[in-house]
Amino acid sequence: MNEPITDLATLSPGFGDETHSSQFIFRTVLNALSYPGRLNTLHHDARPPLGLNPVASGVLLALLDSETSLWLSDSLRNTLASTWLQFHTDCTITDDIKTADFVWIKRFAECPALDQLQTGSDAYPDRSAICIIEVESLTKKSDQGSFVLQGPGIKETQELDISAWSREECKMWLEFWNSNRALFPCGVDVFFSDGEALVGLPRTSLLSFLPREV
Amino acid sequence: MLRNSDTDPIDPSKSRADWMKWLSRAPTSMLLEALKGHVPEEPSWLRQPETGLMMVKGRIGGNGEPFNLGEMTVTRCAIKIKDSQQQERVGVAYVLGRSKRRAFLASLGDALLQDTTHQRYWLEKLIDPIQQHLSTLSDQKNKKAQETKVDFFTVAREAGG
Repeated sequence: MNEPITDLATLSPGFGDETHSSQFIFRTVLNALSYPGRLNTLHHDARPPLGLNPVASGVLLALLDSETSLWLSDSLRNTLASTWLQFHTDCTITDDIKTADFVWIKRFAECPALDQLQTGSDAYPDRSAICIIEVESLTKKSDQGSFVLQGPGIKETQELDISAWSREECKMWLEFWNSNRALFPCGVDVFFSDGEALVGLPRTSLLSFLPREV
Repeated sequence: MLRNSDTDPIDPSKSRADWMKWLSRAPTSMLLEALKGHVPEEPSWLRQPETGLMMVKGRIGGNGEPFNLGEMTVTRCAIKIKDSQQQERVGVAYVLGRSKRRAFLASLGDALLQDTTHQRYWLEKLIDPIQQHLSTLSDQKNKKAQETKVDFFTVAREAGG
């Protein structure tokens, strides 16, 4: 019990209508995983602490409960994120990324290789982590080049551009993703969010990078 | 760990834990009467009133191994108000049963009592009558129990003889 003590007055409220807001967010999350790479706008009435990505906070507020644990990346650790989520959901904040059910990453630079996360076992591939990565902006495609997704839930191909990522970061992500794909049926499912939209990237999706001429 | 900011009590026998205890046991009518005029139309919730179950644990004879006695319905909420110094105060209440209104009023009482400038006033207006009322109730109950007490003096006499 040596955790820092937080003044409750610094915390902001959760959902105004807990049942319906959670159901709405759950539906959006389901859609995001069913149609990988599509942009799903997500608005809710919870008021996360200032400076936190509203989409990521809303998704976690809806999905976390007293039986799940959350790992926060370095730049989120000293924010009100943990106390706010703990107060409203009773979740556990863990320092051990290997056992975390949810992983929230503020910047791609803080993203560990995906095989360090909980990837499930062959008998229980569902016991894997859900990873939420914040990005600066998400668009369908841009002149810079974009990711191309294929697989279940995508008719032919789906393009996704994470415009703030550099070429190197995109390459690194491809490596991460390919090794995650190699673990199938194990592996983690990923969500991207720019604060407005939610994009799902389930472990079934094939990812490639399409450079584009300016 | 979460804890609300505790203000130093004026009367050390009436700490925050103490007044929260009385508020959570008070009947709704008493709370309503004492808080009349201070109940906000649209309260600003930190946590809306919600009802759930809590496990009650017991020990046989007070010193045996703890066991689960059963579940009990509890309603809790947390309310945010601005005190007379425009400082934000969070009132918290956990009450037995399913009355959201009662949890709301108890949390409001807790928030008002944290305002140091008016703490004395609220202790007198809100807590003292509750304390009096509840101790009268328990006195009556004890008295009734005393009246039905039977002395098995014959058993003692026979055992002694």
